[in-house]
Amino acid sequence: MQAEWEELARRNWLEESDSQQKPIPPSVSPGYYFSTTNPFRDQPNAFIEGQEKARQGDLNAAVLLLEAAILQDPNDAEAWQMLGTTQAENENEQAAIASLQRCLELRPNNLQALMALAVSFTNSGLLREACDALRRWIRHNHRYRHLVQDSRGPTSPLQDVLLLFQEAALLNVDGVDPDLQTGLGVLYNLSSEFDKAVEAFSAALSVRPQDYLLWNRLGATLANGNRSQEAVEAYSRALELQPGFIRSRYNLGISCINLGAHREAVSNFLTALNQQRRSQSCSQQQMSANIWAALRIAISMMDRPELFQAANMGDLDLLMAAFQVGDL
Amino acid sequence: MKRLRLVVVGAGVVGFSTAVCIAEALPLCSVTLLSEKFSPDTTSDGAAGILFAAEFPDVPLERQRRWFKDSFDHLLAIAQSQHAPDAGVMLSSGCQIFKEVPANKTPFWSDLVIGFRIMADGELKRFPDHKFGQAFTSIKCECSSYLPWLEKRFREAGGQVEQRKVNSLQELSDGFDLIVNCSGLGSKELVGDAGVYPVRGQVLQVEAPWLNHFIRDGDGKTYIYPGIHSVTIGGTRQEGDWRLHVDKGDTQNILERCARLEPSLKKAKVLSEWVGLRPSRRNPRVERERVQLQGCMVPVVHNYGHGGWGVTIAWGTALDALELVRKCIQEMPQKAKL
Repeated sequence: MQAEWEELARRNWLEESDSQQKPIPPSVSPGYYFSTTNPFRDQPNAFIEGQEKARQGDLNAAVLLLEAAILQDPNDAEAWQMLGTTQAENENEQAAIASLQRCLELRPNNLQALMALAVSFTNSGLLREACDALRRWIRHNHRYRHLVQDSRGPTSPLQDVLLLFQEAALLNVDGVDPDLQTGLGVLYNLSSEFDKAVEAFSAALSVRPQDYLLWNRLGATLANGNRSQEAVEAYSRALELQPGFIRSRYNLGISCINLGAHREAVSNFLTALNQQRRSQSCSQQQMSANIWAALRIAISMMDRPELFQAANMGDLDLLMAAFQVGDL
Repeated sequence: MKRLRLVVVGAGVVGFSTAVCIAEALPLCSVTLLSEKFSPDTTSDGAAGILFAAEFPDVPLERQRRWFKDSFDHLLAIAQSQHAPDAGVMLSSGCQIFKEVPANKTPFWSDLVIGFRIMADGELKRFPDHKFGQAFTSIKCECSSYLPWLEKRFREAGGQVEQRKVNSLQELSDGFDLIVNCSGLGSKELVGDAGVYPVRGQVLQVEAPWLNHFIRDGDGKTYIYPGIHSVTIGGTRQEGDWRLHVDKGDTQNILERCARLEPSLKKAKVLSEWVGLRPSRRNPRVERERVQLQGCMVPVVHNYGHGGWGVTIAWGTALDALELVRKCIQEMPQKAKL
């Protein structure tokens, strides 16, 4: 039964399991579960250092430092935002959503947090919530807020917001707004118009070619539109720019499974899990359940029962040795 | 958060067994059972529901044995529990007799029932037309109680039940991610299977509380099955016959044939008559496929075509269907994250 549970969690039919983590202290934010042991709890300059760790791609250390910053000042909206985007990069969608929501409670007009939240809702299959976040993004954006009307007649929430973003794009005759294009890409993902979403993310990348988040979004869109081969190229670009980007490595593994390259898939999942574990003082609880579940799927397709057993036991060292995966 | 939505089509013994297996094993899926007809109006409701089997020609014997054993063990556990009266499941002893000695004296299921033995000549004396017999204890599962009991169990596992005729799989592609087809004879229309055909069966319920042992003629046309409230006697095997109304000629014929085996039935009062169409097929179809529905490839697990052996192997084939559902889930395309 546990296998099915994770199976479903992996596919977003359920919320991800945070069951290993005990909530402390619940008064700070009811939706976010802090790590039980945090070596950086009283670290001065925790936010600055967390930001630096995130930039370096050490996502686990970044998460702990940002949590410390928030425990020191629960109303630090910027820290909540950073924690949210870092958790998303670290393949922990539920934690990302809780953090971003807290950030927006403190600062409702934070455009980056709204966009990140829309992405997380989209990944979780929450269409209405994703549309709502993007509508708020337009409403708080001084360039486009005048487009928002009270009533557009009986259209679906998705069509409604999509029209807003399309009208907004028409305003930009003299150049591309990469954030607007990102929103469009998310909306086309929601409507399963993957080719249009690819165009939108590509347009955004023409302005920000070094944005590894955009490369991953382009890759995920290609993958969900059954273009796994091209997706691999986009993920590879993202990982060149940011080798510690756990989400993109997880996505790359998924594409490898879909292309039948099970060994490469396993290798990517093991690398991601090892990166999550590697940070000092981080125990197993920091590893994503859905990466473990995807790893088990990939190994189950290789007809290696002894390794499947190791995956079930969560024996990362044995698996890394068996597949000769080293530290990056 | 979105959950995987499964639909089971069909509310006979195969449909409800499959729905219960899935809902209990995959508690985080949402399972809906759709059917045009429910107990007491299904084909299963009229079945005598005694467990033994004939061999299907093209299914590996090991698989048939497993279907039989899983079903038998499942129902035996119910028969020996406090749920027996509610579920309508009881142990039943008796014999199967043959006019000619069969080529295979010990069928594949002989070691799966209780106390199987070849009958002694002395025991066969009362059946002058018959030369050979097998005596054993099996299980009688009465679907008029068993189906409502399964439905309750299904609902307790979070399952939802809806009365609705499904005309095509297309109708289901919007609301469900995975379809399980247990529509029996309905599969002829629903999935265009020309290999499904009816084998008409007529039975009578009679009042004969003095009878405790079942008797079945090996040709499958004449049988006497004492049950919890009455005795089911039958029957007919009319291939390709779609008539659902009672045939008075058949009734007369059944009474005569059964009275030849059990003369005391002449004293029994006929309580009711019933006709059902066995959903027959050369072999039951327990397999999965992917069907293109409105531009999407939707996994479909089939579990139908059990003929007159639905009650006998329902639970076993339901467990197979569950495994197929698991495989479908594992192979569903995995979503990449933005």
